[in-house]
Amino acid sequence: MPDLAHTTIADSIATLTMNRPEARNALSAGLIDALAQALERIEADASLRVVILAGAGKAFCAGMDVKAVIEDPSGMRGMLLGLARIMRRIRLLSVPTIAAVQGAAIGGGCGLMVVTDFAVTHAQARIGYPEVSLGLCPAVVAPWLIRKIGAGRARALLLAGGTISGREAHELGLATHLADHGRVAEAAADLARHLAEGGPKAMATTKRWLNELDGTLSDELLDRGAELSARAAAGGEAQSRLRARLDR
Amino acid sequence: MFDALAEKLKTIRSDSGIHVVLLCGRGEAFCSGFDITAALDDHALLGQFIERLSLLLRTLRRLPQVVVAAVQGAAIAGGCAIVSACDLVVVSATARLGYPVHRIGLSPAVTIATLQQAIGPGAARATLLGGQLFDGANACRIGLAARLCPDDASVHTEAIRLCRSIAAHGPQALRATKRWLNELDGSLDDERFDRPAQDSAATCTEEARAMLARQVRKNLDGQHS
Repeated sequence: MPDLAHTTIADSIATLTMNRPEARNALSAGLIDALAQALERIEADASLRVVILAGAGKAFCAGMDVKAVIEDPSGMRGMLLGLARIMRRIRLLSVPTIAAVQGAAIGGGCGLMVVTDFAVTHAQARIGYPEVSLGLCPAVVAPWLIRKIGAGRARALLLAGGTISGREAHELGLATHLADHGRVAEAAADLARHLAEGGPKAMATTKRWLNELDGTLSDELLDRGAELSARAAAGGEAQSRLRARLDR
Repeated sequence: MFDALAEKLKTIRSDSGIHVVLLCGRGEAFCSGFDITAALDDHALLGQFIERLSLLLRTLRRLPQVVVAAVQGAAIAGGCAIVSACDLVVVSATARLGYPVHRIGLSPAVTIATLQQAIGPGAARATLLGGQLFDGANACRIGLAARLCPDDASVHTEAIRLCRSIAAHGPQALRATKRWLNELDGSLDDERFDRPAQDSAATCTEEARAMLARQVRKNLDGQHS
């Protein structure tokens, strides 16, 4: 069994890496499980000061594994619920979190990018939510995107579909930091070292308060988003559009 | 005009073959706000306009289809409120938008339900309390518009292009996404629309009508001198 997600810890900074580079780290059921397990360890480690979320290879994360959606539409529901819960757990971590986004962050991958406190990317990265063009509904990521860039910008981005560049993502506030191509990991590490210097109790207090102010989302609401998304994925519209995409 | 819009939107709403709606204004302006001349003689009419605007805003926001606005020239007061209720806005760099209504004694609170979600609470505060007009580039900067065009002539072409690209998406997915966004940002909550509309309407007094009449006279004098 390959190690689909692995955690390295150095100087109180944990780096959680999605490790399916051959599939551009597309979120499969296995990867989602592996992330959930890795989070358990991170949540339990009181010595950590910062968590970096990264993707091995050329892309941060290509989003939900669409092959899985077609092969097993009913399994999609569990994957979406799993992703929704992972996102909430990342949000509720008491330490600051950074997404190090190189190459691409698409759909659910872009969801992981907006649920973290910081996101470092580069100008040429492809970022966005092309769900609607595939007949899919980005209901799992919508609540977090609204909190990140505001309801109006989230509305325009999700309904227009497609992707934007890393530079545009930075202008929208979706990415907080822009680095040169090839220097994203380094820039994320620099930021992590800086954040690790903050008082951990103050950091946890501030983060908890920010989460409360922007409306910490209930499991019930997030689960409903996953159900909505799963219903769209299992519908005829999504199935025929996804098939057409894969056959191309 | 309110009647005509309401009727058309009702027809569109129930047409499952329509996936995207393009809202535009013919001529040099998108919409310059309420028909002031009609309200000059009757302050109660202003109050009625505000109630009807509030209904129009929620109808647009809750339309199951994606609504794109193509904004050239003026989108002022009620016209800007309509812009804030649309899902995506294409704007000309030379457009003029804003809510210059406190100077005639009216509160633009009626637009808060849609403007605050469109641009966030901080920007909504500055835009409404400041009352200054802003151009297309600034409309994009604060998040009211999603696409900037260099001039009025290119707005319509760009809006059509955007509508076509959205219409190519999965229609059921689009409807589900819009409904979910409406639920998440409070657009389905009537109270968020009703209370500010009532507050706005309450400012439509005889005093406001008199201020409006003075303003119109001043503008006319300015034109003649």
